[in-house]
Amino acid sequence: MYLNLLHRPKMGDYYEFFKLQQDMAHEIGLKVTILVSLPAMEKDFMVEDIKRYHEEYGDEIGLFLSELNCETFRREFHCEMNSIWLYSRDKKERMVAMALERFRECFGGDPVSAAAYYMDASTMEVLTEACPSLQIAVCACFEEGVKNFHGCNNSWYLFNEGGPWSAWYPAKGNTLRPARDEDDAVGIVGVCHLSRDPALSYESRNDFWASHPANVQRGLGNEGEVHPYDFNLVDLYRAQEPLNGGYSYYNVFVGPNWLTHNMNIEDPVEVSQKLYRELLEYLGQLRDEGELEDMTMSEFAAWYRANRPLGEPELFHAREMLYGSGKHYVWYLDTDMRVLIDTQQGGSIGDLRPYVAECERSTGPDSPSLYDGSYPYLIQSQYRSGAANHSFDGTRTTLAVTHGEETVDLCACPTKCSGIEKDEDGVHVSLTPAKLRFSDGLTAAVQTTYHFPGGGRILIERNLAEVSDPEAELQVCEYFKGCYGTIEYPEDLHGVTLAVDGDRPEALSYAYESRTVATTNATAVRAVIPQIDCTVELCPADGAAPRGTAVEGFLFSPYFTLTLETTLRAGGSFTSCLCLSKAE
Amino acid sequence: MLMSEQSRVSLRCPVCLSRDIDVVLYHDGERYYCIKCSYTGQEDETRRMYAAIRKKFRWIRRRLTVEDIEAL
Ligand SMILES: [Zn+2]
Repeated sequence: MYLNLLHRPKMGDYYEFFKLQQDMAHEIGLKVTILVSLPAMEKDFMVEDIKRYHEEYGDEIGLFLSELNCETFRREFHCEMNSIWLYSRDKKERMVAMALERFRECFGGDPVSAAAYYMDASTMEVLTEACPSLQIAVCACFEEGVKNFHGCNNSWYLFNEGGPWSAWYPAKGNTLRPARDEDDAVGIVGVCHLSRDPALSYESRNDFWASHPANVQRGLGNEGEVHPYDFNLVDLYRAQEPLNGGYSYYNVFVGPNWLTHNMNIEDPVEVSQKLYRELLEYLGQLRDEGELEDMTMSEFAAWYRANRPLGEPELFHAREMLYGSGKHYVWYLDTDMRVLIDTQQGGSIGDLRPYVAECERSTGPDSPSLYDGSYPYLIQSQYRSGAANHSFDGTRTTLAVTHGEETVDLCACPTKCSGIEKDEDGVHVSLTPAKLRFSDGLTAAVQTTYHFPGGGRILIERNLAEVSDPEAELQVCEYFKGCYGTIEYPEDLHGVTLAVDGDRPEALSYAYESRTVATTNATAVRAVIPQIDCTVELCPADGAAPRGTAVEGFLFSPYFTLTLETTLRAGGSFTSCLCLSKAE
Repeated sequence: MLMSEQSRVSLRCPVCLSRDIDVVLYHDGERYYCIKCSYTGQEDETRRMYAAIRKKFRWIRRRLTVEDIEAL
């Protein structure tokens, strides 16, 4: 595992806790990257301390752009907002210029590393143009958006969901999208702010469940000084090494305000400090055992460039480790998509972001997205209903299996991930069989394998592994329910085209009229979503399916549904191809 | 922003927190109260409610090594 330990000085009484963090790191001998804000650079004693840290311990000095508010800044911009990504492009340019000028005055050169909670496309462009020496930036928070907004009394405007969870090469036009090639790339390595829990960040707040002991205290995930979750999360990331060419990446970036009185922590200050120290000690122990290499940010950037080619898929096999469910989630990321497989729901897709559509995203008052930097989803089963609870279901995939008059939805049949393999055909994620039981006593098992061959395609292979009556014929329906959006509320679906190809090709333009287009011998069913330049299509991997449908929703169920149906007996299998492409 | 001594207490509303929302309690002497919901209680009661929230984390004391995680 590669580690970046990041510290940042903070003003006033907080400064002594920054020094405490520095002392802890240096006692343990961990390499630190200090990210320095504009206000910190206004304080000569801080600048002197930071230079001394650099000289004595080799700490890297980078630029922090998520704290701007100081007298000089207010005089120039008449605003106290610290979020650089939420200013207009013109102001981003002036702020970056001001910060870089001050950085050069203080430290005699340009930074090689930088950080902000989020850098939208225009911030990224402005910064990399103004600072050609830049190698790496903290530029996103995995799954930070709706849930944190709620958790902070609807007052935390940091929306950047739908991106990578670790390190990647940010693309031009959208920081959260991994670049296809050098032309498409911004030219630096991007890393997330903190290493989040990829299971609990999907189900709940990512700012509770992260490589940040005080965040875990905030979520009540410790009992005083007992805090195994902090170490378990490190080890969950270490467990990913075999899936990603032997590497995993972890960063710890805790502001000094978390090591003193904090209004979101009820533990004594001494406990907060002890938990932080113990996390660093564990990381130091792993380094001593040869299991971890601590690096400065730019050292990691150099390693990443030398070892991780552009376009390489990334995987995370998450296990839930706090509630004790042991639930599995599998995240897959490449240049065309980010996919979450929710194994608990029979292996459905719980989140899907079509990078292939290349949605552009800059934030700020001069952008149509305003505050919202999230990459649009086609499926988000937490925000957009997922499996039915109150009324109709919402965005998700599933397999419906029908025997006689009775249908079992695979979402009710828990599975786990049984293996992840890579070969020349791509990535293959296998699940344990989903066990089905019908009221007449018939039982069956469906084993699902997801294949990711690249090119915006997902092959969903359903094997009817066992049926208690080998003669029984089961109807199976591969089911995709989608929409587009970034938050919980529905967007306007007018103008989405739904179509089927087969014996009777047909299409309709979405108008919330609850219509269905259907065909026999279906070769493809699709939705074209001009609002996000995306086409999503479901087609049989081989030949035609006996029936295919595309179903329009209505305002109480503002989604579209694509289905392919066939009949299987024991031993049979049905593979569908879910294809994402850029709509012209 | 108004940051009076009253709002600088360090207890969050256990009811709001059980909905994943951070709301710092105000207090009037020994009695704490929430301005977003109707929760009210003393410090010891409030801390007992935190303990109740933690009960959902059945593995809060469980150390899981890489090997343990792979076996989950
Ligand atoms: Zn409350």
